[in-house]
Amino acid sequence: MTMLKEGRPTAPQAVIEADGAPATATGNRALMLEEALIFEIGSTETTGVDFAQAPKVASRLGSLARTDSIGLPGLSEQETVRHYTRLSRQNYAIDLGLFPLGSCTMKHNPRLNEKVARMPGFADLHPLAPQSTVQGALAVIHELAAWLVTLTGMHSVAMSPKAGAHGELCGLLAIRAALEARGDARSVILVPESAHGTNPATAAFCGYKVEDIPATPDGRVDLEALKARLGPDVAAVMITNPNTCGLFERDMKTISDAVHAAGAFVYCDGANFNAIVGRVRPGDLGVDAMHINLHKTFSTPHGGGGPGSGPVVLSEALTPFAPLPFVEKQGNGFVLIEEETAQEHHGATFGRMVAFHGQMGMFTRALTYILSHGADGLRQVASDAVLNANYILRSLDDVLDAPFGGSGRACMRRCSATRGWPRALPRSISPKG
Amino acid sequence: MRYLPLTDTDRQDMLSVIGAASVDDLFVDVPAEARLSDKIAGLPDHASELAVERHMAALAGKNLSAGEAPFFLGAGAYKHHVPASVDHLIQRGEFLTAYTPYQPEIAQGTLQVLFEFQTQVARLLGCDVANASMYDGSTACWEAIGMARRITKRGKAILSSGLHPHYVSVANTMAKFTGDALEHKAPTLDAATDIDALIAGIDKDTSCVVVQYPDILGRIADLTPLADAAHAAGALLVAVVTEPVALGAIKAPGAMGADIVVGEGQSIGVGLQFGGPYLGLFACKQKYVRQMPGRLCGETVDAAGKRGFVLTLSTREQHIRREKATSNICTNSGLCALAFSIHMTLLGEKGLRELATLNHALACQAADRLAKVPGVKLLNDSFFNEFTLVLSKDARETVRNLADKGVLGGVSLGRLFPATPELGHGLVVAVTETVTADDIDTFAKALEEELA
Repeated sequence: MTMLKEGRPTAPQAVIEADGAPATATGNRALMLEEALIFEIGSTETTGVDFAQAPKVASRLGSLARTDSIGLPGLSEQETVRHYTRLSRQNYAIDLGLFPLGSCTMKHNPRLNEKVARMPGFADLHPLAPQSTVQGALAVIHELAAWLVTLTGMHSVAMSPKAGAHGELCGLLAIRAALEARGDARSVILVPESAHGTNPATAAFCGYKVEDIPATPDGRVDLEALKARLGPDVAAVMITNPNTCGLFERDMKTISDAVHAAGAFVYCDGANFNAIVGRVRPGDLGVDAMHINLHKTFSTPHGGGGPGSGPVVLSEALTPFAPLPFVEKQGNGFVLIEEETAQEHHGATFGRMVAFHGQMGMFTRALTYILSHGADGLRQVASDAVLNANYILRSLDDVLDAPFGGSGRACMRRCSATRGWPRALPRSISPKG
Repeated sequence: MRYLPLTDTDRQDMLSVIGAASVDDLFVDVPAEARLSDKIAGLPDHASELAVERHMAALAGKNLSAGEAPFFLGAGAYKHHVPASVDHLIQRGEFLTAYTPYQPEIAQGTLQVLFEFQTQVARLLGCDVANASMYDGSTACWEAIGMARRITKRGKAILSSGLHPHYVSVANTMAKFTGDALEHKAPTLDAATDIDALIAGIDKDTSCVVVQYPDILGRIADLTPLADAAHAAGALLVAVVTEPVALGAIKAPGAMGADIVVGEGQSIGVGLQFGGPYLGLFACKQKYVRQMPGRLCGETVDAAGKRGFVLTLSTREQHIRREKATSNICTNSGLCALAFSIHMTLLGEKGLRELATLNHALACQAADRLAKVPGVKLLNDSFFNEFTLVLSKDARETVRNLADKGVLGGVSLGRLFPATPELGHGLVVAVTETVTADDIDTFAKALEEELA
């Protein structure tokens, strides 16, 4: 399989003629409204916010008062609401319909999640507030962490990574710290050529040389080629499972055993965890580290490009190297383990990855989603996602050539967005009607 | 199960189209020993919306939120009033539930927002160009250090003692793996910043100097001499802003010669949220744009010649360049950038200046009032909306005791710098427009009791 690495052309191939409709004075066409830039419609003298009068004081700004024009246009409140409402209508989104992306799990974003995240007890909480005043927040982190550990069959979870790629970084830093702790310098990370671009980028950032793992013609990791390449210079193998072609890596356990026998670690990209949650635990497959995209599997909104959240579940071997900070239950309360307390019991930690404790606003949403589904509902999610994906695959048999789905194999392509389908939709996109 | 649209009848119909007897048959590629035959034991089953809301509300109720108490915490996260329309607009499904704008034809709304956001950020920070956001200020800071290494091909970065200690920790973590050499000392309780020492430390191996403005103790100083010294040695100046509201009152780092300006954008539009999600700001001089990490949105024309917006210079990024990318960042903080941009549009330059003026005036009043408390000394000669008090007692214990009295009275330097006991009496106090005269009075009286 050859990946397209050049991106697609953005220059127009040919100017497309308008549909023949007459030009309008505003540029608007029916309900499609043109919208200017704020820099064209706003003014530096306009504001949509009223403040109390500032008391008169002697300035303490020294010689640093800003006297230049900043150039920030303002709009009144109603102009602001119109501007952004109009712009919102130029987006496609999950709320408008199916989003069958090949590179990301897209699913319904429950509004209860939004309501919960906005409770003042979560939304209006300072990250450095005294721990006695944030016990409920620490409880949320602890409760979500327990779910993630149980659902994945792993040993622990690092909650602070801010997104999937940041989680990859967390996993590889833990692996590198573990190798260094045993005095075992290794230089290579093996990545399938179908892997998401963040995988090789992360490995390179951590100072590793990246080598491709070849794929078999049926779209999976070539086990024999992988085994042949393993050796004392290989630090880890990064595998996406279910993989980017939508297939479960059948040989995952054999791969893990071979990787471990060679003294290396298994990093799993959990971008497609949605398809197996409650049905397969990565811990049972020999995975050492896996990030979980809360904005994919656990329904926190994509927001047009973030914020994400990428907790990383870790095996027992990697747990001592987990990043700071983390939450521990002590007695009846919860304690945030930061730099000073870490020295006593967690001296092997590879350090801190973010200023504070991770994406709390995503934790509250993900926990709300998880509690809404429960153990039975989460398993049903994976079942329905895989059912939907295979139904689509079969429905498209006559019009598309499925490169890897032939010969009666089942796929696990990430069709979690289908969970948000109206029931009629599968029939409506089926070419056979 | 309210989120699952399929009925059992649908499932049977679909299975028959697929030609499978059961859903289990679709998991045949999973090794049998790894297949779970039933739901995972020991976890609760699904729950009603009401039950889940009650459970979460009970946990929220165990916290003392900023709005419930006289509140003076800052140190990298600030409580500001966010206009109601910001939160309303970011919850429009077309923004909230949109994917990353890889397909410009279905994402012009998000892309125009990002284009406007980038321009707002660039102007606020005084730079030529800004990206579409990073995870937060701390990750933006270490990305800037890496960018300076790529530009200068030098590996030694000098971090100011006034840089947020958690930002230093993040940079130290990354430096262990990237091989950057980082020089850093803990701050001392002086009214002056460490700019002179930073200038003295610059040499021919220095890739960049990283300086926070206002710094962790709330101090502000002109960065121009530092920029000049860095440039004379072939190094870059990286400025870090954790309180962007300040730039409505004080000079922009870019205008003082900073080559890269990064920041934490949480103050504008985003809210405290116990530390995340936040919004990394990242801006630089035009000549360095190809070494910038993260997404960048640009203006173009579509096939019909109309203005449109697209992600641009993507050849820096992981989805094109893979292991040769400038960063591994993919998802950023899109919705937080939207919140920032809406709030900034509501403010405009006029509103931002008024907001900054109000913050500064209230902070001056609070500093004067608190400095009158016996056992309290104000460290700063100059500040914006945050300053450091030196107490007659350990500040960490004082903060805990104040919390027991229902006062959230600042961030102790003991919490921020646990390895530097000389800072133990330092207390960083932030004062924004949300603080009332009564709050200041209550804080001063509680502090007086505590120090008596």
